[in-house]
Amino acid sequence: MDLYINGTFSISAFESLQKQMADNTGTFTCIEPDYKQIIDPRLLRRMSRIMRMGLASAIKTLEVANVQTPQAVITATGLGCLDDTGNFLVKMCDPENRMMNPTAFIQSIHNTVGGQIAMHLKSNCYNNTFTQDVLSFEHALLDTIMLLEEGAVESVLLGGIDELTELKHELSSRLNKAQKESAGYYGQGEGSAFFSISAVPSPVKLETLILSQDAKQTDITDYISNQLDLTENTLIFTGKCGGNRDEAYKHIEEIIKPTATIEYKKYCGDYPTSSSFAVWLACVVLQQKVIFTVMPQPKQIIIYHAYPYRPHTLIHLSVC
Amino acid sequence: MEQLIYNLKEQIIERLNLSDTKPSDIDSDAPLFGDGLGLDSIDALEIIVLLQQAYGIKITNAEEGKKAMKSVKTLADYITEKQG
Repeated sequence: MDLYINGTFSISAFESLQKQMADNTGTFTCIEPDYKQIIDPRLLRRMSRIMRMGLASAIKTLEVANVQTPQAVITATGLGCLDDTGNFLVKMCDPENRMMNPTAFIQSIHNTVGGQIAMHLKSNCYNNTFTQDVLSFEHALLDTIMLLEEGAVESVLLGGIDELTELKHELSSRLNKAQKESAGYYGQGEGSAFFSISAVPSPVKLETLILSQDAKQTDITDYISNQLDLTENTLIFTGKCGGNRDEAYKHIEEIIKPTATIEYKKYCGDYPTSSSFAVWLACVVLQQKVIFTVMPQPKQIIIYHAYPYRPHTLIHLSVC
Repeated sequence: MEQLIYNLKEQIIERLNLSDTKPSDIDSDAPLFGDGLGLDSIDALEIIVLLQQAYGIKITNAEEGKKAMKSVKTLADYITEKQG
């Protein structure tokens, strides 16, 4: 079954391909819209940033795709509603505090964004949240493909979302994460990207998703070598972050060169569901809403994501 | 009493994140839930926690709590009575 991305919307740090997106603290913070224009202000007051980002992206995506109610809502998040989780845990550790605030507790779970979307749509359809660290979005996409191919549903709203909080900064520093990264590390980021996916033909076709099952990434290298024509105006997005973890890309770089390559984390920062940003960027590039001046208009984009000791992933999109 | 009512309004605004509301916007006699401020059950829980944390008052009887949380004025009366 051919699957297409019928609509997409993202909230991220991205402004343009020519601009350095990291702020002066070396982090990538989202450029947020005026949420009051998108979400009922009465609902906004209780929502944390990640909930606002997620719900606003979901609403705008459905608008773009002209879908009233999707038949499934699938969200992906590596760290969930981190701000509320942090608030709740910090207060819980205070021995003087004998009563916990309910809001932070209620909203600290990973599927809060998915739940908010369901409540907004007044929909009790299939609703699932995937949280598999850096592979959360890929697993959510796999579920999306399986649901559609099995004919269980006809349309899926899929999203990837993570937020950057002060607590995350602090904990990362304590764990010496920053020091472990090399000097070229692009920096931590955050973002929300949603997609409406179905079999209804649209300009962007979802060709394939591969989650590699072996250490040598055989299925991915086989796909690139045997099923792809890399000379066909191909652009490759890699999830390289400018740090030590980029060693994981060495093997694949031998196979793909000299195909034009973009390191997409230069535009959104490093966060668990950043591959959802890469899919959004691929969609806008394929539809010529964002133009690369250094190469001809691509006809297909391969998103390659690799972390040491984890399955590598490949997402292949093409323009119809 | 007036000072307590003003403090309560400020605390409710801060605790419930009513960012576009000023204490003067809240009618002391208007219902907190439903038509008035339009608060809901999670807000009720937040107010219960506020009473305990800021005033050391624990609501143990649901009916008593319901009466106390009708408006800012009834809430102030309840606090005064309990602290008296």
